[in-house]
Parts: sequence; structure tokens; C-alpha cells
Amino acid sequence: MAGSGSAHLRPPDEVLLRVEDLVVEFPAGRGRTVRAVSGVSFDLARGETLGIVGESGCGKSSAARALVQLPPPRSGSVRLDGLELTALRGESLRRTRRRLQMIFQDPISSLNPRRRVRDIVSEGPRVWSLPGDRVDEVLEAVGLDPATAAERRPHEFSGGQCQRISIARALILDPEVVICDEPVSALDVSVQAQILGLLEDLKDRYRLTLVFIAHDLAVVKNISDRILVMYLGKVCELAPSADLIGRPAHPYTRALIASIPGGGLDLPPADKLISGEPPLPVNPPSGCRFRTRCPRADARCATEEPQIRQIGEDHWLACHNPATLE
Amino acid sequence: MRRRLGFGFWAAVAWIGVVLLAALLADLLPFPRYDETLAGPPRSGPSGAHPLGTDGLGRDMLSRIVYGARVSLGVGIGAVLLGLGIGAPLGILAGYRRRATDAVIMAVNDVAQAFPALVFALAVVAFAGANLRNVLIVLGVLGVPSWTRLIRGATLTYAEREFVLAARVLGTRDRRILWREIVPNVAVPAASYAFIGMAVIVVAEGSLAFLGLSVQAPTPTWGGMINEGRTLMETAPHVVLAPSLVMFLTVLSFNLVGDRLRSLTDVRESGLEPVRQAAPAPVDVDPPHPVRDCLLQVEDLRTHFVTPRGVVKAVDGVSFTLERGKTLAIVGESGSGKSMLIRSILGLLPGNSVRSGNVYLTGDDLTTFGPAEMRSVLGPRLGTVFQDPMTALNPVRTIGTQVTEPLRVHLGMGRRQARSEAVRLLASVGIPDPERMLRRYPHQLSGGMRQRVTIAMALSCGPDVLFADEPTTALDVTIQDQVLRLLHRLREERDMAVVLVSHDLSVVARWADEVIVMYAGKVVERGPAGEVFARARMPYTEALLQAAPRLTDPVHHRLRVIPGRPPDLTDLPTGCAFQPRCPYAQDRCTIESPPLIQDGHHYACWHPRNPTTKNTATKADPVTPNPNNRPDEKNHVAPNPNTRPTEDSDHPSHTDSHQDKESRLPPDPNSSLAEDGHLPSRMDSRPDEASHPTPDPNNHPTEDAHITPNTNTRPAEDDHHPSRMDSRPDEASHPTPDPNNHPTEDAHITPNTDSSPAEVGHLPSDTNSRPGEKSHLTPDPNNRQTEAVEEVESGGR
Repeated sequence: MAGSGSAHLRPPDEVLLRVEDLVVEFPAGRGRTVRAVSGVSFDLARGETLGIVGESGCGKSSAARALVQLPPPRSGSVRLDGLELTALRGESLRRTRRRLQMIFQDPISSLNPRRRVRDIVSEGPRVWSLPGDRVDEVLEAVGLDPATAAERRPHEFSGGQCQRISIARALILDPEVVICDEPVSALDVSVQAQILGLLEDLKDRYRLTLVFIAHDLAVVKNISDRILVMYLGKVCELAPSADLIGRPAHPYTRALIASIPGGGLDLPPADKLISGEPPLPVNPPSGCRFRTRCPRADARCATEEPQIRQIGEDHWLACHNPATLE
Repeated sequence: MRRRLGFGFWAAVAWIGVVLLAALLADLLPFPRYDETLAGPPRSGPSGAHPLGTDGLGRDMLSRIVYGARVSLGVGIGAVLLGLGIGAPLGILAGYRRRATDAVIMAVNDVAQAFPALVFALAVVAFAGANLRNVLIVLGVLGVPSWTRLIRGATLTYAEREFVLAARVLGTRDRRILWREIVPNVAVPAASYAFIGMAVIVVAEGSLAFLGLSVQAPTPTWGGMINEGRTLMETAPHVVLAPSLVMFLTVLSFNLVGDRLRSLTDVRESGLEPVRQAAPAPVDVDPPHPVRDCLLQVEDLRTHFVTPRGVVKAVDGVSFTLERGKTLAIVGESGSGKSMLIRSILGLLPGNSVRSGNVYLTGDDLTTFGPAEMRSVLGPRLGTVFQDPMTALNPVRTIGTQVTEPLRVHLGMGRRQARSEAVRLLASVGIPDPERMLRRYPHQLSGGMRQRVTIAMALSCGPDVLFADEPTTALDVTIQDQVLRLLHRLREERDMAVVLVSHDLSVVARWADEVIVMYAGKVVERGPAGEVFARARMPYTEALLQAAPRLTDPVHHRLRVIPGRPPDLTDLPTGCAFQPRCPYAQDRCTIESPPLIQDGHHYACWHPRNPTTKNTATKADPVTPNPNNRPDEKNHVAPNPNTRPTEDSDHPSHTDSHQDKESRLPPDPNSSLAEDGHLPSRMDSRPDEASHPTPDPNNHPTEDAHITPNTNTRPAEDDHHPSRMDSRPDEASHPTPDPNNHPTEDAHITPNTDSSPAEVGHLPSDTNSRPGEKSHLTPDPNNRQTEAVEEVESGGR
């Protein structure tokens, strides 16, 4: 995989957020750079939930942060409703902020320990000089009792409740897109179910468009309309959720599914589908980046990077030797 | 707060307060002026008129010390404020802006710190004149580099936090982020170091004064007084001792206050120490349980922690046995006591814990072992693998040293033999090129490789039982699979037992033979993994299974939500600990704690789920089958069994697979299915309610914003699945109330009766689907395999 290309993008007027050829780099010391995200494209229609899944180091979180321009990507385009965010700087960029909000993985670290919940949630309206009277409403919407919760500080809450506060903080600005970066990874199963249900409710209630990033394929499938699979900064496969889980074509997607105990599909055991460990992002393999772990790799995979192509209705793939779809 | 700070802190604060107050009010105090000579006989010791005696010129010592405090404290506090005033903004700027700003500020800072500070101070004071202002400025400026560095470090730790990123995402301007998000957090550590800084400055000022380079006579300074008194040491030691003692106490107090404040902001972890046994075990009495002939037997193990908030019952009466060649999984959510159970077995517990009960390893009671005996068991007989391989390995020692150490210590191998054994071990856990690996350091390995190394170390002495505490939680899913396969293979090869602690039910279902489900320190269900997952009896197990997302679930499938949160272990609810969150709880559950009983497998519940067909009739609970009969005001929500039609129309492929499952359903609608071996479970089907498809008259929206009952009842359901009308006539003819089919009694566990928009789109009769108001706290008990429900129902009509 490790595919490039943007054939899978829909026409710009049909989508709310369009990300094209996104490249994110970080300094890796001694003058080298790591390409955390390397030419990734995707788009989101209004009201859609896009799941981005991949293992650690695949660049999913870096891509999320590049969407909100923190920090801005090295190159590529991020268009929100036609507005090119990467071209904006300073005040004009700040003015777009309330349209894109983020929820983070670590519920504790996401909240300033020295501020009260009411101050945390009302920070957005205060920054934008909006009336702060919606604090109670959003706290209720995320399932917290404003009367008891608003005057407390984060340490008095459990992880799940802290995540609710984070969600309330993001919601109060009425954002169009909410980027959820591993929002349930740090939570227990029962709390995770609560937060997933809450996100679905809020999505309907506030007509949100969600980018949902997680490493857990079952969680991503639960909430997403479409799923994008990433590996080492590249796109592997993109398809509607049921299709991706039901008919995975990319060897990496298949390995991910087979690695989950009780995955349900009739796949060979995971150790037949993937071997070894991910290469270091500093020195990615040539051609297809997955080839070093892929049982289907051949000579072409080492020389030629696969391009994203369509293999089914809204099912996109970057692989030279996809698994046969039976 | 007061208790945490301790007596010493408050004594120190009181001393500083007294000195400060005396210095401020010196002019009002009833003693001679500091420069009044012959106020008393020279060199006289302490007396009524001169509590600290007089000096060589007959000046009152107390007066001089109090006035001297003005200089010492004035310089101490002033210089710190000056240093902070310049250093803090620089440090915050460097830490927040990073990049070029940081580089420039820190480069200048490094140069400044390389300057010989004391020489600089001496030179400046000597040239510019020794007065209070100059001393203060010099000492203040000399502190700037340290303050910059310190504040920068504190800023860095907070600037990386996600709440700062969140503030930027909100569109907050930098200035506001600095003031609102960073400064309040940096202020606390800065304040604590300020006190320590004051102590340093007081000493520095004293040194300068001693050298005659501080404020000049006749103004008294503590250092100056010590210098003057030097010559009188033989005849009037109090002239030196009094100011020395005051200075010592002041410096000590500043340090103490600063240190205590700092410890408040630091997070320290308690170390693991050998456990204390609970009060001397009843001597000579035979254990009330038979010691079985098995590898590991745990009997009534309890570990309680004594904390200021009360006794935490982390492990509360756990018993199990484990045979060779088996994997026992311990599952539960955080705080359920699963990790603490392992530590209790291994005897590795924090100092404030008390353990009771017995742990038998092939018949030997480990709880009677002393520390030395325990060391001979840990490693050779009990191996451990923990969640985070990075913390389990020593970062400054090579893999080779660490893997060979247990071999040499426990097995007495020589260096060369241990090395070749280590190579063999590393190869056996699937590490490529083990020879080279021995020379590497932990940070050079990936997480998966590090975990393999810790597994190799745990196995090095051939343990009988391997304890793996969340061994794959920190690993990627493809690596997790590799590691779990490895553990399984090693278990087979070595014929050892594995105790696997995990929160991941799918992992447990796949790899465990036996499973223990823990809740609030107790075992709530125990049995063969397949059976427990197929037919969970305890409602908590059932809820946990339904709360976990599975790949086989349809997209946008609503997961079961367990209302509330885990109990406070210092203040457990009466009766069953799960009772406040349990939809099936009855009066008895709130009074009596259910014992762990065996019926198929072990479970602790008064009103178990998934009864077998046989005892359906006999196990009737005193439950009113119809919610409308209950006058309980909370009970105005009719649970509608018709809720989530699975997403047939949207996902034909899933429909197929579900129908496949359906065709293999056992006829009893209450028995859950295990056809794919993992986590099948579902709620029961409520056929009784199905016979009342009319809207519930009691059904009005609650005031409570968290719970919006959905009032629709879907009369169109039958038309929607005409093909299933006749599918199960046999069942349909028995729409008898399921005795276990408790209507929900509590508003917050209202069954979720509406469906997601995708599903209702094709049901025009569904007039009341307001998903936006759906509660996240609303469990959806009808969420899995609703086809069965529908079949029963539609057949019944």
C-alpha cells in the first residue's frame, strides 16, 4: 500500500472537508526529517463520520493535527467548505478555528487541572465574545449535571466524565467538524460504550461531521460511515465501514482484522497475513511501504508505489496484489 | 491540606511569620535601638532586660537581630522577586514559543550561568558600594538564569499538554493561553522553589555580610553580627550563636516550606514492599479449606489498603485453582482489583496494605514465606510480565545483562553459560539475531521486541506459573496477536500455567481456558471461558460483553451502556456491589451480598441471567411482569422490545450473516448463543411486553434531561418483516412472561427504544424518533440479535 493518489476524492462541491496530498514532517534530529504523513488524501461529506485506523506511527494523529493547522502541514491542501486552511496565517486562521474542533485521547491531560469545569467549557464563547449561556445546555447534552459539575475541577471527575467535559468544550462553539483523536482509547469498556453512544447522539443533535481516529478497528467500525486504513503515513484502503470489514482487499487491512480475536471473518490466522514489525518512519521502504511485512509482496512492490484505484462501489485500494475478493 | 503538610510545615511558617512580623514592626517594639551603645553592660549574657544579651559595645542583641532581619529577609525576598520577575517571563516565553526564541534565550542563559557568580557579586558590590539596594540587585540578577531555566522546564511540561492544544484549537490567542492555561500551572512549582531560593539568598547575603560586603555598619546584618562576634567567641559565645541560630532556623524554615509545597505538586508513586500479613493468623487452627493437589490454589485472598479516606478493599475474598497447561484470565475494568490480585498472589504490595488468605503453590503456602523464601520463588517458579515493557527493563543496562542476571542469580550459571542460554531464550521468543540483541539497550527496541525480552526474562528460570498483567495493552494489534500467540506456544512447550490479566474481552475469549470476572475486588463470575461468555449469568458480565464493540456488529450498532460508575472501594454499596448499576436489582440485592454459587459455572448474583430452560419455571423472581402495574413514578417508560431492527436494508451482507445465526438459534429465546465462540450475549426478549403494542399511557417524557424515553411502539413492525411472521410458531404460542424479564425500575436504565436515523428512515410510521435526545446513559438491552425478538413477537400476533 502505502499508496498515493487522490482518485478517491469526491467532487469538491459535495464535501465539507477535503484533504489532498497532505504531507506532515517532523525534525528527527541531526538534520533529518520524518515524514509522519506522506501524501494522504481524504474527504468528508457533511454529516459523515470518517474513521481513520492504523497502528501507532501510521500518522493518523499527525494528520488530525495538520487538519487544524497545529502545526500546519509541510505541503498539501486542507479545504473546509472551499476555504483553503493551509494558506491562512495568524488572525485569519484563528477565525476559522471555531469551525473545527478536536477531542483528545487523554481525558486528564486535556483539561487544565487548575480551572473549574464552567471556565473550561465557557472558554470558547469567551474567546469569541459570545454569550456564555450555553454552558449548562452543553453540559447537559454530554450527560453532566451542570448544577453539581460546573463548579468542580477536573481531578474530581473520572476519565469518562473528563472526556465528556472535553466534548462539551468542543461542542459549545457549534463546530462543523469535530476531530476525535483516539477519544475512547484510554477508557474502560463500559465507559467507552457510553462515549461512543454520546458521540452518535451529539452527531445527530448538532449535525456534526466527525473524523474519528482510533487504533481499534471494532471501535472505528462501530461509529464510522467510511473507514480509511493508514500504514506508515500512507493510505491503504478506503471503503464504507461494513464493506471494509466484510470484504477487506488490502493485505494490511486483512491482517488488522485477523489480529482481532473473534473478528468474525473467515481469514487465515494473523501470523499468516503479516510478519515482523513496522519499519521506522525515518527510513521507510521503497515502493509499497507495507511490502516488508506483506506475504503477497513481489518485485514490483519494491519498485513501484501503488496508486489508489477503485475496486468496488466507493471501495478504494492502493495495492498491486490485493487479496482476491470472493 | 493541613494534615498533608504536617506539623513541621506549620512550625516553619510560624517561624517565618514571627521573624517577618518582628522585622516589619521593629520600630514599634519595646527594646533599645540597634545602635544604642551601652544599653546594658557589654558582653553580658541573656537577662530580663536583654533576652539575648548584649554585644561587645553593649548593644541589645535582640534588637540587632530583629533589625538585621530587615536586611536578610528584605534581600532574600526582594532578590527572589527580582529574579523571578525577569526570569519567569523569559522562561515562559522560551518554553511556550520554542524554536528560535527558545534557542536564543537559552543560549544567553547558558553563558550567564557560566559566569562566576560570587566573584561577580563581590566585584559589583566592591565597586558600586555595599548597600541594601546593590546587594539586592546583584543577588537578584544572579538568580535570573536559574529562574529562567526552572520556569522554562515547568512551562514545557504544560505547553505539551493537550489542554493547551485544545485552547489553541478553540482559537484562544497566545497571550490568553499563557495567562489562563500556563501561568496558573507554573505558579505552584515556582512558588515552592521561591522559598528554597529565599533560603539560598539569605545564606548568600549572610556570606557577603560576613565578608563586610553587604549593608554597612551601623545597620546590623546577621552575617555582620557573626563576623563582629567572632573575636568574642571565648568570652561571650552568645554574640555569635544568637544570630547564627536565627539564621539557621530561618533558612531551615524557608527550605522546609518550599520542600513541602513542592511535594504537593509532585506525583510520587509508592514503592512495592513485601506485604504485611493481617493480624497474626489464627494459630494452630487448620485451614478451613482443603489444600488441593493442584499447581496454584488461592483461598479467600484479601488485600486491604489503609488510606486516610478509609479502608480500600482492593481484593476481597478471591479463591481459585489453576492447573498446569491452562490459561486463567482475570477480566474487569480499572479499579476492579485484577492487577492487585496478581500482586497479592506474588506478595508485591505497597506498604500500606494488609493481606490475608492463602496462596498455595503446589501445596506450599506462599503467605507464610519470608522475604528470602519469596525471592527464591519469584523468578524460578513464578514469572511475571507487566504491561509496560519499558518500565520493566532498566534503561541503562544492556538486554544481555538483564536477561542473564536471573540465570546467574537463581540458577548459578557462569557468565558464558548464561550468555548462551540467553541467546537460546531470546530466539525462543522470536527475536531475530539474538546475539546482537544482547548488546542493545531497551530504548533501541520496539515495544513488541521489548515485550518479547521481558517474556524471555520471565521464562528464564522456567517458572511454573507465568503472570501476565495486561501484557499487550501497550502494543499494536498486529503485535498483540504475535505476543499472545507466543505466550500460548510457550505455555504448551513448557507445560506451565498462565494467569492473564486483561481488560480486553475478545483477547480473553480467544486465549483463556478459564476466566474470572472481577468487580469491586470480588469475583462475580468464574468458569470455563467459552461457557462464561456464551451464557453469562452475572448481569455485570453480560453488560460488559454487550458494551464491547465487535467487528461482527453492524455499523452504528448501539452498545450496551452500563449506567453510573464503578463504586468507591472505600464505601461500597450494601449488598451486591453492582446493584446500584444493575437493571435487574431487586430489594434483596441491596441487602444481602450474593455468594459465589455454582450452577453450571460459578457466579455471584441473586437474579442471574440466561437461565437454562429447565429452571426457567422454578427460578421465578418476585417480579412484576408488566411495567404498567408498578406505581413507581420512575417507571413510566414502556420498554419496547421492537427497537433496533438490525440494519437489514442498509447492509444486506450483515443481514445474511445474522440470519445464518438465527437459523442456528436454540429454540429458547433466553439462551444466548455461542456459535462463533466469542462474546455472544444478549438481553432477553420480553415477549410479555410484545403483546402490548399499544403506546403506554404512562409514557410521558421525563423532566430529567438525561433520560428521554422514546415512546414509539412501532405498530408497523409486523408489516416490515412479513416473511418472519410464521417463522417460529412454536415459540410464538408461548408468549408467557419471562420470569427474568424484569421491567426496568429505574429511570436511568430505561431501555433504549428508538433507533438510529438510518434505520428509521424506511419506517414512516415511526413518528417519534428523536435520536438527538437519546440518552447516552440509556442502555439498550434489546440491541443484539433482535431478530429473535421480532420473530417471537410477530409470530405471536
